[in-house]
Amino acid sequence: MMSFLRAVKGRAYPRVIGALREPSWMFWEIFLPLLSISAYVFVYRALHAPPEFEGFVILGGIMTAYWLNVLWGMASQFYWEKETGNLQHYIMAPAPLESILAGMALGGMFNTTTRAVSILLLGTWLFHVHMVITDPLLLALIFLICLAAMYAMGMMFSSLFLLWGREAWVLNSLFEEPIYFLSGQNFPIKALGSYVALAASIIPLTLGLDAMRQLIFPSSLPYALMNPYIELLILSLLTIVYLILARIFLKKMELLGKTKGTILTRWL
Amino acid sequence: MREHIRTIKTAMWLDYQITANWTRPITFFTYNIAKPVGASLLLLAMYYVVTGRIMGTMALSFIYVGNAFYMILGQVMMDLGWLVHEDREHYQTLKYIMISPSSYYSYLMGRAATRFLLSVFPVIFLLLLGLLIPIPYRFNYPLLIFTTLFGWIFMVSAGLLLNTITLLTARYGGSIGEAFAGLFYLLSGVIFPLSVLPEYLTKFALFLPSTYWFSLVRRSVLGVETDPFLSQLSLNLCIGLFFLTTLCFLVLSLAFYFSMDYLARRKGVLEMITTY
Repeated sequence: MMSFLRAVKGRAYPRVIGALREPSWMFWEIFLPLLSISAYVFVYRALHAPPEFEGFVILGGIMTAYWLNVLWGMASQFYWEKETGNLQHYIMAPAPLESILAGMALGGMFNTTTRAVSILLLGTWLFHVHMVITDPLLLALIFLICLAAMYAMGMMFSSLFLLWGREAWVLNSLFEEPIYFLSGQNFPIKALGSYVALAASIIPLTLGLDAMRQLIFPSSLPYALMNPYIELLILSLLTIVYLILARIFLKKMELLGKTKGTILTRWL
Repeated sequence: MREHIRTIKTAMWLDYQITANWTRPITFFTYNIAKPVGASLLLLAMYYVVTGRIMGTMALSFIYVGNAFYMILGQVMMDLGWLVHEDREHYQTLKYIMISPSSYYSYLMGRAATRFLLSVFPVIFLLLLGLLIPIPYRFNYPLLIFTTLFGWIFMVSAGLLLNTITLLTARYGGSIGEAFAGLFYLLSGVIFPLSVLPEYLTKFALFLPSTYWFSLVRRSVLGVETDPFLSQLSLNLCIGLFFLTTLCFLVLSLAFYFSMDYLARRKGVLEMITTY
């Protein structure tokens, strides 16, 4: 247990320190999402949408920052570590791979939270978004469980991506715009119809966004997919399922690596 | 001249191999289309939740056509941002390309040309998909061909500007590309009229070739410019301004190319590896 926690701390450390050592990255990480967020806000303004829709865009931008971190900082990280020659050290280290992934997740969450808070502050200031939080405790719980489910999903993908070559990179970019659409990044997911919305609920971002929209913008209740408590329950189940799958896939990946001997093969 | 054309052709072939040879062509083209379709559906859904319908109005056509053609600009910018880093640090071939007798500028033009061509396919697909909405197309083919060809020159210039900057930077390749693409998306009246922007940003937008390019795209695809601000410009004036601003971008990119190339050689950073 101690070595597990030490490995978590050890892997989270470079991510936390890295964020502080490269302040110029912070500028890009805040500035870039603001560009697309602003564009979507202006679309709603051009369409004379109700003001809370602009808030949906800010909320979507915040959660997208985490989703991108899950994709590029979790799912493809083992693949990336393989390319840079670090993966063999992780495999040889006297700590389970799960602890390495958990460390990456914690460090990534810290990193992304600085970005998310900046987007929230700048976005609400620039566009005068008015938020009314009806149940702060439930909101915090849903936010945290949503993050847990997303990062567990990232852990699951990390093993799969490792087994692929450049397809991993491709799959990551494929999980951007189509997922933004399916998760209802900037609009209430119910607009896609209940069946599509329910199918899209396997992406934790979908339910997390829907629940948080209800709790931050009470006027969005008519657009809600389901009760936030039910969404919290489903998100908790998704977290458990994705964590179990992540463990299974990690073992499978290790086994394949040993039998085929291709796990450290770089595609370059 | 023949040397330049040969370099461009070889660079185009190389870029296609790098981008697409990880899978079969059919899978690649499906992937190539999926991202732009996802982005368009997102905007359609936003339009639907506000208006409660999805049938063709001019506002919807404005958003749809602008976003479809933005796919070319966005993809070229984002991909070209990475190009120097990829060659220098990932493949570690930049130094060999630089010392080869062919022109590096031609090489970059070739790489940019493939990215441009590959981005045209999703646009065609999206335009076909637009028939289902339906978008009221009134194509002006000569204008569309002119707009596309000159658009390529503008995008290559902007892309090369990016590339030459990244010759000197250790990181930020992707960020600079994304920033360029994002600025064009926000400030060129791609998915909303320029009049929605604050006044100072609207004035800034008038210096961007992309603003006139998107206006020409709408005029050539929809037969009309619906942006209240840009519709005041006559077609000839719009073409003239696009030509002028593109020329400025081209001169700027060439000036940057020669100065950054000189500096990169002087500083010895063509072989720089930052394990990034």
